Amino acid sequence: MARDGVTVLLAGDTSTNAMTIAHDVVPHRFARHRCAVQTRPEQGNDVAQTHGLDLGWTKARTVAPQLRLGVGEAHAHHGEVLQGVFYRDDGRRSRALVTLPFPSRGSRAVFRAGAGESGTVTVDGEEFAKVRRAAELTLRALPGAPAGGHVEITSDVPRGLGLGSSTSDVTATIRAVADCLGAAPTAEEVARLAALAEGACDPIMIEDRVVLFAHREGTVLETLGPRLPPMIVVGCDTDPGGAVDTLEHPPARYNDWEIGAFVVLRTVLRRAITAWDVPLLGKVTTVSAQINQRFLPKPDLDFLLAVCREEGGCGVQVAHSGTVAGVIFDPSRRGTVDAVARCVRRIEDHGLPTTNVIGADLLPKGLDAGVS
Amino acid sequence: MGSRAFYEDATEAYQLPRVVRLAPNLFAVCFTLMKMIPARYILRRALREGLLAPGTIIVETTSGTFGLALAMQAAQLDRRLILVSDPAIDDRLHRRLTDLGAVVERLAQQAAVGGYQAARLNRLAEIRRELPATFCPEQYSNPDNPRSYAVVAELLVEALGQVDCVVGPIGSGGSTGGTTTFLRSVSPDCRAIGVDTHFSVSFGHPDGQRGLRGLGNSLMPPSMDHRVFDGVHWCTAAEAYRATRHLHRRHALFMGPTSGASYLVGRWWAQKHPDALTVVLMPDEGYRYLDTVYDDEWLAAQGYGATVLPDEPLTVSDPTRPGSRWTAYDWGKRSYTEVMASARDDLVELR
Repeated sequence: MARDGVTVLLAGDTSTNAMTIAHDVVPHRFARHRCAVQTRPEQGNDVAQTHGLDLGWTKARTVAPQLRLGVGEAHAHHGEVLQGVFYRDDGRRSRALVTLPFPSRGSRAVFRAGAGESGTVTVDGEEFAKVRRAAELTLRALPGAPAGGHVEITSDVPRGLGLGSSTSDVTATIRAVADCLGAAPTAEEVARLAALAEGACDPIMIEDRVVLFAHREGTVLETLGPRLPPMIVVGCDTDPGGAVDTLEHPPARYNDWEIGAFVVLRTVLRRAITAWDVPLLGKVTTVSAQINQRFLPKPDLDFLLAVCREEGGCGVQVAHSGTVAGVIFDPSRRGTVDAVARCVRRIEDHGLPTTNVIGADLLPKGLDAGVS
Repeated sequence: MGSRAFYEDATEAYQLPRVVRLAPNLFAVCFTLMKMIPARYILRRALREGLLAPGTIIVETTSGTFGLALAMQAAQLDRRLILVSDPAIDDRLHRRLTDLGAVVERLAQQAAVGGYQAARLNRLAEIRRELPATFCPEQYSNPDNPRSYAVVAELLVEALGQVDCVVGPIGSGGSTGGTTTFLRSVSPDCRAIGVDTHFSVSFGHPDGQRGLRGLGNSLMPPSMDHRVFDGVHWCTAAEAYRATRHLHRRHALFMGPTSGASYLVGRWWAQKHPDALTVVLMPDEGYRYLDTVYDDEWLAAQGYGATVLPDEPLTVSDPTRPGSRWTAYDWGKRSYTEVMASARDDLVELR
């Protein structure tokens, strides 16, 4: 079984350029990409061994290769709750983050085993390199995996805004490949593969708890709690027309005071999650957003902070490698429906397109008037 | 950090305090050896950055618990330690330091300006010139001193959630200043109250004879950021000792006299602000003071026997004039220069 050395080819419909939806925040427009994965046995090394991965989850089904098909899905995120440098248990430090899930957007991957289909072309777009690599890595980590196959990605996650479009593609791909082979990787295994494929990834694959996640290593530093408190986030794009290239963006160089503050913020966040304390959580996101101003400033952060203050919001969160930001509201507070509606209007009047109102389902009916 | 079954070493075990409730809104933050926090942070950083090779000798000037924290670290790291001290260092501490392998040099002569503190610094510079490789933690000017207190802020947030006021004794200003600064990252309104003693230069008094050991400075600590502080209080030795004993008798907390002074101020502040959660930093325990603060005969012999604790401080408008009782001044998060300038203006107006 030749699992090593994979070249990837793109097949089928290439007319839909991923970038055309980059700043389209209208729902229900999907980008569709397809790429094929084909092994070349003479190349490469065993990634699973190289990176110390022990993927004991393989139970390949015996299905005729041409019939194998797997499906995987992954949702987007809306930037970060907290991002910085944090101490690990061994005293060393890691860059890590806590993601704000954005479950209404996502990617879906379909993987078809088998390679060398007719009409295949080589991929040169950066966009697919990570997906291809994710498929390769997953195949290599699975004993008994087929030579290669097709990956088809469907996504409604806008690119370059810091919504985790790339990680949702990659995670969906890993899940699709695993599904195709009847394997059930744990969330941590998917995370390690995604981090390897991308160089850094967001913890969207860990869906059953809130984690402080070392995004470069793809490992969990700490489980902060079972879930974030119910909250409403009015999301917007702070730089319409601009986009951040995650790979090009230099890593933040935090000073010693900031690293000390992260120690405190982590503890406050743990408390906010345990107690379902949205105002406390909002303090954490706000400080994190303010620290980020030194590295990837949001020109309208002061405006958003003012709106938050005046409309009774709890705080502002941002994408630390993107352009989206969100104003956080506590759904249990009286008058939140009206406050959210006013917040949406003010943000749009300011010229910033809103991305979504995350958690709008927590509010009683009547918000529709405010959110177009 | 997750739950822990054991500490990696004694210095880790010693660094974190116990948080003890004294009143509904008042908490004592009781350290065995608070200075372990900056000592450990600074030395570990030096190790990481290659400044503390095996042959490097750690040197520092101290007559107090920072030296003890360094000696514990040095013993564990297998490094030599030279401490420059003045005669005030007590025999018990001296024995403990030398048992840990530290070389303690006691200076007999004060400097003409800056007292023993200046003489110690001069001698330290001499020692460093004579030795090939030394590392000096420089607790009074090292910005890592206040920065090391993130772990205390973390603990307070974990144990108490929101903290509204931090009261602490001022030596280098690192513990109260650092802890409050980190707490302010999430609670910008958190107040900081420094507790000093008369004839300490830290907040504007002229240098002079101070009865209360472990508190106050003859020289201004270079790393001190006065803009952290909302208020400053000056206590006499008699009041601090009396409050220390009260803390012991009333709450069974066996702490040193700087803890007692802070307790006096913190208790008053918490009573005055019943809705504010107040914490009092208590830097060390009472063992070193058994023959002094905890000895009624000694207290009587010093003339501290009949001290009655005042219920509240005397609020003063001139921070440059030492008094003979507990006083308070509204520092207002200003820089030292600003406060001194306004004090001079007030004087001019009075004339």
